[in-house]
Amino acid sequence: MRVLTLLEAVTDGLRAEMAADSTVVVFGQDVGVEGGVFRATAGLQKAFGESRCFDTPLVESGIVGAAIGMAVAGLKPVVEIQFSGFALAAFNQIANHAARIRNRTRGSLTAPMVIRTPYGGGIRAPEHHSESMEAIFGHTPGLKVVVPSTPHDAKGLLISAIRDPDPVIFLEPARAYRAVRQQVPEQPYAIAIGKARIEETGTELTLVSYGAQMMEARQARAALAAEGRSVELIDLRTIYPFDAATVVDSVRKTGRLLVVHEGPQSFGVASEIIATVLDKAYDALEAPPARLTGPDVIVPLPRGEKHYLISAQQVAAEARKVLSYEP
Amino acid sequence: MGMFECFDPRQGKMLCLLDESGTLHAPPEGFPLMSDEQALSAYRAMILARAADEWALSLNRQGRMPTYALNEGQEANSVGALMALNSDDWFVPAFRELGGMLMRGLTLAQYYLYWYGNEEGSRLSPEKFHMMPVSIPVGSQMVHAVGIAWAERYKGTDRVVATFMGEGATSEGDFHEACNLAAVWNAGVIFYVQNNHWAISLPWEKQSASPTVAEKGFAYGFEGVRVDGNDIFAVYAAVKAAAERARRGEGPTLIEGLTYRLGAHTTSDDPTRYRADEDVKRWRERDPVLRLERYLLDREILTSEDMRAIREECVGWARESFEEVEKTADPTLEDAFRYLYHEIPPILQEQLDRRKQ
Amino acid sequence: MSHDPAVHEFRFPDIGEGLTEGRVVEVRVACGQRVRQGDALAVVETDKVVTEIPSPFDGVIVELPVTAGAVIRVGEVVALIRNAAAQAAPEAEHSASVVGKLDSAAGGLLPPSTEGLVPEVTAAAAVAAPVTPPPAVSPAVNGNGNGAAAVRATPLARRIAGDAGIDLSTVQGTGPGGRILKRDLPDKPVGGALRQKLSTLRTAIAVAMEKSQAIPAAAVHDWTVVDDLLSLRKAMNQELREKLGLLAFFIKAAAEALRKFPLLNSIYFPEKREYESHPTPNIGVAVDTEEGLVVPVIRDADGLTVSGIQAELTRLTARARSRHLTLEEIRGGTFTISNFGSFSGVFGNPMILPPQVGILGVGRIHEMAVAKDGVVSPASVLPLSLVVDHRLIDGVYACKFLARFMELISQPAPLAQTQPGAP
Repeated sequence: MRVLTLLEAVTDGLRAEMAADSTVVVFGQDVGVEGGVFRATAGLQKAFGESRCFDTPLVESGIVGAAIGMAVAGLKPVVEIQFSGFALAAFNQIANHAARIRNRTRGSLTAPMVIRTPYGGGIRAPEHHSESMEAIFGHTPGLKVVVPSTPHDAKGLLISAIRDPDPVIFLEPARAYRAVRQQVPEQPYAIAIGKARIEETGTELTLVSYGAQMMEARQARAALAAEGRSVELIDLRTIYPFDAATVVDSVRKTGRLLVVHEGPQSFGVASEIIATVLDKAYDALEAPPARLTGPDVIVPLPRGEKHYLISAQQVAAEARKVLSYEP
Repeated sequence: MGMFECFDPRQGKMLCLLDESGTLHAPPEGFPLMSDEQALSAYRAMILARAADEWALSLNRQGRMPTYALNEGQEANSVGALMALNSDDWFVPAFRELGGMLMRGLTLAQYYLYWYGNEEGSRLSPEKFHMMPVSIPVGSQMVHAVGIAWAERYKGTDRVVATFMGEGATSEGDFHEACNLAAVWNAGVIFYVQNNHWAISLPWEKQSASPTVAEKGFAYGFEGVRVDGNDIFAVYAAVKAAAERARRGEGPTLIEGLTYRLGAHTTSDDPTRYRADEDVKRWRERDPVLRLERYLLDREILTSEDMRAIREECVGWARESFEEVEKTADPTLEDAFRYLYHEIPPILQEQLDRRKQ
Repeated sequence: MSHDPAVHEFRFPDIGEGLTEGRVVEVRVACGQRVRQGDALAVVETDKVVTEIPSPFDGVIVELPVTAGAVIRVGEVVALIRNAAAQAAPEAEHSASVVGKLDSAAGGLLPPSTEGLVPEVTAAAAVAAPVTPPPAVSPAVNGNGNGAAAVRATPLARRIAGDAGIDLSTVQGTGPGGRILKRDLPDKPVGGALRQKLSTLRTAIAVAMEKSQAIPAAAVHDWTVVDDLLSLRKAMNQELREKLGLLAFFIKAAAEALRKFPLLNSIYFPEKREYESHPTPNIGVAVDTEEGLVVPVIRDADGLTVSGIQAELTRLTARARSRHLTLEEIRGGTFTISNFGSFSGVFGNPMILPPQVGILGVGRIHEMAVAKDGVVSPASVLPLSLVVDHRLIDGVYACKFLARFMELISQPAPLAQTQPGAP
């Protein structure tokens, strides 16, 4: 056991699976020699050689397309798209092929592969580097979409993603890469995709979030606990297929729901969770289910980012509103 | 220099062995020649492909077959190419390679089933076929081919990959991406472009300002060659040579098969709206089947009677195949849900259960 | 890779232009030396340039693998530097390649988890911090004080109940799983134990009955044979278009009897201990409606023939049932008849309607064996229950009134007079 950042846990997971399975190959832009612009693949080329971890030309679409071919031919490619916003350039391959080939060929040809990509704002980067794409991927049938928020989860979920027979989009919260640290076991372990995690139990309000936003959710929960309010904090971990049962059971217990995420409001993940909760736990609700999300705007450049990101204070304030709602 | 240097497309050269009169010329040094047995086999495949197309068109007009892409005039490209590959070399088609798919062992019934509108038509066991399904997004399959080639090399096999596309696909970004990646990775890919002169209604002259497709290969660092796509011997020779080169680890090749789409783009297209009959007539004289028939007759490999019999057999085969298709059960509700993931996740199962109520 | 989180590997960067390696011309620092960000660590010559390689941060040189004259490839370690800040992640901050800035402080150190690990490992790796416990299933505490959490009601039903002050735990839900819906709430009752407010009429009745309770009432019960009355009615009805009911005869008889016993036709004022004997009988008739009992009054009943009484009775009953009675039609009664016997009940104790002082209850007509002059034979009998306000009316007076009434009923010929006026 040693304390790792979320980023290091990703590297750890990659290393574990590359060691265990020789069909796992890691490639993408700058992942080999440099070890990735965030250093997520640091040391892998040195450890496993250029045939296992290598740099590609600058071509997101080609990277994903080639990975599809490799996966069809029996390998397990784990590619990196440098920033989730650039995944759009590869969307034709992702949505039209990776997500579809199993269905297209009635399961005779499949594309077991992982696309890793940092997402989200708060890293003071240039345009296009701070997008939240999880809803777009979640809305594409045939993909699995995973977002860890802790180092322990990052390693376990990445290992699961690599072992998964379906294409997995593995979104890594850039803002949390080095900000969150935790003891991470040395040996490999898998955390199931499709299962949320109740980080803290509570009785009055169900607070659901994922990814980098969990940092603010944790702070808000703690602040409310200091005020004597009992908030159940759930880390969604998987966007598709999301763990409706855990969320619904929690809302049945607490009667109140607040979903918080960074990505834009309209047609976002919170809408899906709320619709599901209304469907299954309507009569258990004490207050209308609420969402606190980013606005439907382009993520501002660094100077204006403060208007976009959601703070712990905002989460706590919204939670208080939901807690004090009277019909 | 390159193996194709005497056929440098930049100098206007094109590889042609069997001319329109049916006369076979000796291939250049080091180029493989198709045997008579192979020629006969190829002929049968081409006739079956043609009969299949004719019947499909008729079925479409009868309202029994939805939109279907026609192969007429282009049969030699995929038939000749597949003849030159090993049975476990990968075949990554676009959607106008019926002849090649038949060569690969796909039944006509299964081919029809796909166009009939049932995904079972694309159920392709990789060990049996080493073939990707029809690819509808134009040009998007080429990068898959590159990945497959890379994987085969990684696994230590000597399998090569032949991927097909039309000249229209060379305008897509994916063509560039695939060529570049293949070159950088030295992948064993044969890029076979069927330049049939028409991307639906857009003629080749308006598709690209480049005189040929073949010469584009040089920009990526590999060779391109133009062959007469209606000459099955030339197609065979070029693909065989390219495959051997790829197998030796010498990387990709771009082959442009110059051919002509005698029929419509699909059964929903009316080419009389955008092209002249004289053009079509002229190309009918270059029909690959016609050419091969002349050769086979001259060499007394087949008689006219034989040809008639083969044709009848193929026509019957086409009808029988479609009858089989019409008897096939339609996909079920569960089928629409079963193949999204390895295991259906709860959220999807619930959606299925609701539909069933 | 060093496990000391403060020590960073500084690798020879790709300074561009396809650089893959360089030759170290000069090493400018030594082990143990403190450097500042930007200080030149070494000078490297490449195909294109001779360049200084600057330190990316402040710190102390821990290790220095490079030597002058050696060839160094891109990615190889130039130096190991202990970062002065000693907090950030072990990987070198490679400013030339990293896009964006990562914050080391924000998230903090999380408690460990053992999820996904196999059991033996979990035991071996036990540390101070406990495993996240499974969610406790505890009864929910609802925030809006609507009683036990088990009450399932739609938000709309909750709102209505809240507005109306209805305790949901007393409401039976008819929705799926016993969910309380809007329709289950009192405005539209669907059966079961409901608490509802009294309607206006009911309230009036309740108030009147409470007042009636204060009257010292005395009751006397008797019965009389009505065979002759029944025959008379039958005969009269043969000729009449508007059929006569028995109640009309009872009203007529009561009106007649009250003329002889006017004390019973009085209004009593208990606070003043005064009474007012009314000149004419205004007979109130208890009529049952959907909403409750109403008592329209047949005024000056003694001046009406039985037919006239019947006509008025018909009219008032219809108006009562259609809720069209005016105040005039229910005020001013001096005596009331309650014909409860049409359903069941032989004798009863009807309640006097204050400020009246008497009420005659008429029970169920039935056949009985009646003895007369020692001979028993069947006869139809009419049970009667007279209740009087004993403050004004004594028992004897009441009985005499009742005797007169019974006489008129059992020998009804005088009731049939077509001309109003005393027999």
